[in-house]
Amino acid sequence: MLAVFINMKTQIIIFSFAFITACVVVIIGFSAKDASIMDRDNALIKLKQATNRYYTALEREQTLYKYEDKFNKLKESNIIGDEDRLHWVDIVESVSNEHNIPYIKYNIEQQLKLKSNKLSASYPGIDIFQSSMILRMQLLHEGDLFNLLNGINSRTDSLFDIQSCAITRNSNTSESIIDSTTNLNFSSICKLNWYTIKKKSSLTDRQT
Amino acid sequence: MKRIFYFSGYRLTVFQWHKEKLVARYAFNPGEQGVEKFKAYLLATDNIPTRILVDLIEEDFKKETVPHVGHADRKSIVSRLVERHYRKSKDYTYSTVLDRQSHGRKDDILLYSVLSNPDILEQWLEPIRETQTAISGIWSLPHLSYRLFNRLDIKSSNAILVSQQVPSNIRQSFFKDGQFQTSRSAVVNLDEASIGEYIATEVDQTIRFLSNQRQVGFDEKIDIFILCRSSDLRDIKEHCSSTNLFNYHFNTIESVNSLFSCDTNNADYCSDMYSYICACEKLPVGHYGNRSLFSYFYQHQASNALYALSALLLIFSFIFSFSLFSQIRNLATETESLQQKTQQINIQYTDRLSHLEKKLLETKMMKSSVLFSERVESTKIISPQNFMVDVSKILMHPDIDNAKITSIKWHLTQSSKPPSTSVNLKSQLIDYANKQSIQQFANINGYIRLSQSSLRKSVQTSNAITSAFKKNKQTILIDVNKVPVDVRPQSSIEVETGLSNNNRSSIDQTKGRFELSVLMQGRHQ
Repeated sequence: MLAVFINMKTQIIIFSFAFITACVVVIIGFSAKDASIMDRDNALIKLKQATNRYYTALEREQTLYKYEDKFNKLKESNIIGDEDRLHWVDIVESVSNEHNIPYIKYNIEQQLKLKSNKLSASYPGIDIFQSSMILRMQLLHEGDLFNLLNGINSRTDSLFDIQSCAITRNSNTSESIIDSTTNLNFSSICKLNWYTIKKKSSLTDRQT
Repeated sequence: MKRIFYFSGYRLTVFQWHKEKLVARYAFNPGEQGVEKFKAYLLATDNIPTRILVDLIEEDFKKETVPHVGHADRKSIVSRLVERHYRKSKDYTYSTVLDRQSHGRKDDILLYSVLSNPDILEQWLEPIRETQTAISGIWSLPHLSYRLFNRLDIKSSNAILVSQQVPSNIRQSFFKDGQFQTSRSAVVNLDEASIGEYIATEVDQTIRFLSNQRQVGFDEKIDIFILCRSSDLRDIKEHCSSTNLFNYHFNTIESVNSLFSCDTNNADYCSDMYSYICACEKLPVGHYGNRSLFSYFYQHQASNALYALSALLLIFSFIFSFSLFSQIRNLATETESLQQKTQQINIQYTDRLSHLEKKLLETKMMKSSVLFSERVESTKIISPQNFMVDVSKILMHPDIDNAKITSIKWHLTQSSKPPSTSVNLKSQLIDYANKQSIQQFANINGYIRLSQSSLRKSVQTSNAITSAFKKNKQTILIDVNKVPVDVRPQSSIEVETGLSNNNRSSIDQTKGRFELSVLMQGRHQ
């Protein structure tokens, strides 16, 4: 066997050389190809990223044109940003004075951040805060309630809704208001929710 | 170039073929001088793979019936048979199955051939081993004669092929039904008799031998094909005449050579043609010989294979690298094109949108804020003011003139069912993300002036209130929680008249009290 190897020494050397050359060529070739594929893939990823950025920006541009003015109005109305409680108080006071509401007592509760998955999904990118205001009133007639609520609505651009309202004829009043000797004929209690909006903090973003 | 060493038992002749042409023929006589010359020849020439063709008198052909077994078992049976008679010839044996018996155990009919005196070859094999000449195999000339038999297109069932390879020998090979059966070589001394006489005598002896061996019947017809020089044809024809049982056919060597399209340089005898047949055998596997004799051939083949493999590897690696290079170039072009596209898009982005970048980041917030505020604003139409106006309109009916509302408790709801009395404020909160429509729910309390109307009128008023709400398109649900007058048989009715004005009012407010729960849509919903 050894003699065979000795006899075929040249051929074995040539074959080994050819084999090693082939292996080296194949390995180098594959490495170069892999590097090229990686470069191509990177270029493709960058193109996708650039395309995505461009089309997302175009989409946002459309959104911007559609909503920018309305958003600016919200900003001007202090709906965006920190709440302005004093403004609300001023409005309630001025309207009640204007319409001579016989008795009014109100309190504003602690601000709450509205939390729900649906809310985050429907209105992404914002945190919505709600402050409830409870109005307790004694009224001459039911029209006072109309005047007060309509007055608040017309005097402010702040965002609010009326969650509940109850009006009750006081028991000591005569059957007809015309005959009544008092101006406290009706009791009313209403709950208003004032809303403010802020950009979602990054921490909240991560949580949602 | 193909090289054949033809050994007739006396002289060794070297035939060198280039394609179909015999380019060289060297003969080496036995004895030290001849062997030395042969060795010198081997050393002087290229060590190309060579085949040995033997045409020896000392080659025996035998037929045996052996059990039908596999190849390995048959080989051991043959080696036992050979060992019994030819102890020295175990490496010079060849066997083939001719047929299978159609009866009994259905044994195989085996033909085996043996070089009975292999030592005769040894003087020539020694220089071959010494010079490490690559021998690919040792072929038996009688076994190769079936190639000639086929080329002559012989159809007869019993045929004897007579040929003369060297001046001193004639060989007769017998074929039955197209299959080689046996062969015998006879010495010819042309000084004593003519070739025609020899052939006639030897053919006669062969036929007797075959008859005795029961390979042909006494009355079977035999075709004898004689291959001879054209100069001997006349003499042979004179001595070999066809009879009823023996039919002679004559072919000159030139005509047979032309059948094989080989150029033997006007050879006198058939050895040249047989060397060509041997050279044309496709598989380099001969009939006789020990593997060790062929080791240099195997080495030669292996070295050729290694050269070929090396060349193939280099070619493959070259082609592969070329293919990879072209792929890499394509990839580079593709990458460049992608980069250009990316650059174009980035330029477009910079030109058109980069100045808006900061604002664009806020669009999500903008959209959400606007949509939320719009949703809240849109629900303002559902307000207690509007509800009270709607209720006034509903109750503005002649049949309801004696009813008075004392309290309304109103709130927004997204539920399609009236809330339970124990409902807390939190559960009444409106979820603006919920797509369910926002509705209004109210508890309406009041009383009917029982003291100022008849019982029938009061019942009518009570029914009219319910009916008025039900008729209203905004009403989803109305529940009557309490009615002032219950006229059902299981209830009791109490009626009082002649009361003072003060008493009337308080009795109306207690006994005439009604309570309704209403679930209504907002306006324009």
